[in-house]
Amino acid sequence: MVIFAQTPGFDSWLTPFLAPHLGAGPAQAVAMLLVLIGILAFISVNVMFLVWLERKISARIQNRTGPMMTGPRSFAETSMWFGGFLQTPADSIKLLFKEQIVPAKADKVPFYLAPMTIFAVCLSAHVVLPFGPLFWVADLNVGLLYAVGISSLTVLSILMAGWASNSKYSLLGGLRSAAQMLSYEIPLIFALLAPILMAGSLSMVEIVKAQAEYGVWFCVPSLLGLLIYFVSSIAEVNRPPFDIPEAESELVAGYVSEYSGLMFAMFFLAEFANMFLVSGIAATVFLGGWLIPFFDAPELTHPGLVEHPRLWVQVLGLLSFWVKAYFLVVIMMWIRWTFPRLRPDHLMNFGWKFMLPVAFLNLLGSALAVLLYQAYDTYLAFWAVGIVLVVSVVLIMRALKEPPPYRGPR
Amino acid sequence: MTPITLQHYLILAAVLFSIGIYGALTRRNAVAVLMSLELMFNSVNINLVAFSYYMPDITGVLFSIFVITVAAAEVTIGVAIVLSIYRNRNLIDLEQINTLKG
Amino acid sequence: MTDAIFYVLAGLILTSAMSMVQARNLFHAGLALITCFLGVAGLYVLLNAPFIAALQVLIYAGAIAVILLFGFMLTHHVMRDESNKRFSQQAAGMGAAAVMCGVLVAVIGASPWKTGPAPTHIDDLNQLGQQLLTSYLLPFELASVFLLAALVGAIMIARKEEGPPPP
Repeated sequence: MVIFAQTPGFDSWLTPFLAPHLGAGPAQAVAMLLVLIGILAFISVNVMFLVWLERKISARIQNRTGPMMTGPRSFAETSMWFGGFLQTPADSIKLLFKEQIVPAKADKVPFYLAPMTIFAVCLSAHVVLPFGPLFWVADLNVGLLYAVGISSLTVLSILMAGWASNSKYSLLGGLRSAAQMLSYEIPLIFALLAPILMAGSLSMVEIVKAQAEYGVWFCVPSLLGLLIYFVSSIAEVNRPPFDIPEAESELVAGYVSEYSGLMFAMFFLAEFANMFLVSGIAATVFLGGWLIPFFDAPELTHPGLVEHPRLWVQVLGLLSFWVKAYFLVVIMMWIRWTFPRLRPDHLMNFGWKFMLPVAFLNLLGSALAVLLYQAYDTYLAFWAVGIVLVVSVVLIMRALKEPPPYRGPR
Repeated sequence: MTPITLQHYLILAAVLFSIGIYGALTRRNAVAVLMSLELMFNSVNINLVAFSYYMPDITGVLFSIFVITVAAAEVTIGVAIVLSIYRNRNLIDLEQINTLKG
Repeated sequence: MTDAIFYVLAGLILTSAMSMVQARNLFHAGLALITCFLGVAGLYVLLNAPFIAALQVLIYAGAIAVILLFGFMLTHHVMRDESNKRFSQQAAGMGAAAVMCGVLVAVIGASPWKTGPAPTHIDDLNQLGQQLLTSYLLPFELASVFLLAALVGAIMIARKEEGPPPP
């Protein structure tokens, strides 16, 4: 089985400490296991923070304070941003002890399987995400395709939940979600093809290295790609304004209507973890991953090859990735609390008639950028192509804009 | 236990293909027949990739990519036709869809 | 180790395929089909073809199976299960499949298969891309035309008739 690319991952940090006690083979297995447990713990803690952050941001946008009571009083008195940060742990404990209600006419096996698979899928997709230089579980040579492919299994869990609940709201939510996710997967993959083309590799680590080599992040030549990826991934994780599958005012809660307790918590966990996952992929592929602007260090450009890496540089790289990923997550929350929900036909029109053509244009532009780079050997080629692309799309949109409706003579 | 050879993969694919044939012959629901067809496509793909691995030659992998393309198009059109028959005549049973019978 | 994984995957694939063709409930048949697809993806990883494995997960399990389930969920109230299958049809299908399987296995066992040394990497992406745009350019372009035709055809089948609305 040759699926691993060259660069070793996070477990290579642990293996030297374990090898003297366990022997080389078991040490690697134990290191892998520890890293997986670490990822699991990371997802849970991160989701708790994200839920708290979402509540605080929505509160700020709506001029409220959000949760303030759970947590030290003195913190809450200093600023609204410090209050109530124990709210999500408290909520999780409550959900953990709630009764799990299974509808009498439910299709039992898929009903139980759906929350498990949606979480397992989300966990497996985190495996290839590089959190920083050498902070990844595995650097697969088809990493990006693996992440996209595994994430596309989410829709199966949603269909399972929708069918197995044996309720009309769940079924409608599941069907809507399948249609939406299948449609938006196409612009998403086409947007991701542009950086793959420029980097010449599917491995996430290689894509970051290519950005270091070119001297530009891939959001410069394919800013349109970043926008299309970001919008379609919001649709993929079923967040507002694309939350038609779980529209509260029409479908109760869509496919999660019949779930309670821990199984509901699994869906909730997976939704927020997926949010971080898509932001992390966007940060890695388009925003340079762990790279830092105007700061060159061999630990960042050639991780794994430096003899004595400086730890502080690596931690800096880790922080850089986190800042980018959280920036995108916060924008997602901002969008959620600002825009109204789309109508289903608008959703389909937008995906097929606008995003897909623009994604094609972006892909062509990226190919042109690589050709120009090979011909003139300067990173300015990427800037030129990026600017031309954005300007031309804006001009085309203005030309195609329908004139305002005739309102009678003045 | 003998080491895994090309024949193991070929026999597995042959059995999978026969299961697909069985499903396609006995199922009456049009969507279920499409599912059985997908099983057969998969067994062909296993053969192609196994040949590619044991020869070694990249052609088999290339052909499996084309097979996946054809399968995707086939299932899209198939489900579209089934849904359109269902919408017009409210039928999904293949034995009752016999308007063209002379 | 690899051998054991092969047998486990083969068992998974055949069991899920069998339960797919036998399942009364078509939704369960769809789930069994997805299990079968994932098992085949595991087989591709064993055969050193991670790219095809990823394509298998993305296209078969993530798109084709979803379309099939979708088609089933939209039409299921016409035919809930197929419990009224005729025995003669079952027997004929079983017989045909068994004969087919026997002939294939006999041929596979009797033929001398020429094999070379196993390579480390059979779907190297660079090599695949170069082959697709040189030796296999015509099938590649034909596949794109074919996909376009399928897209147009699906839209034509699904769209409503133009004209005045029915009274």
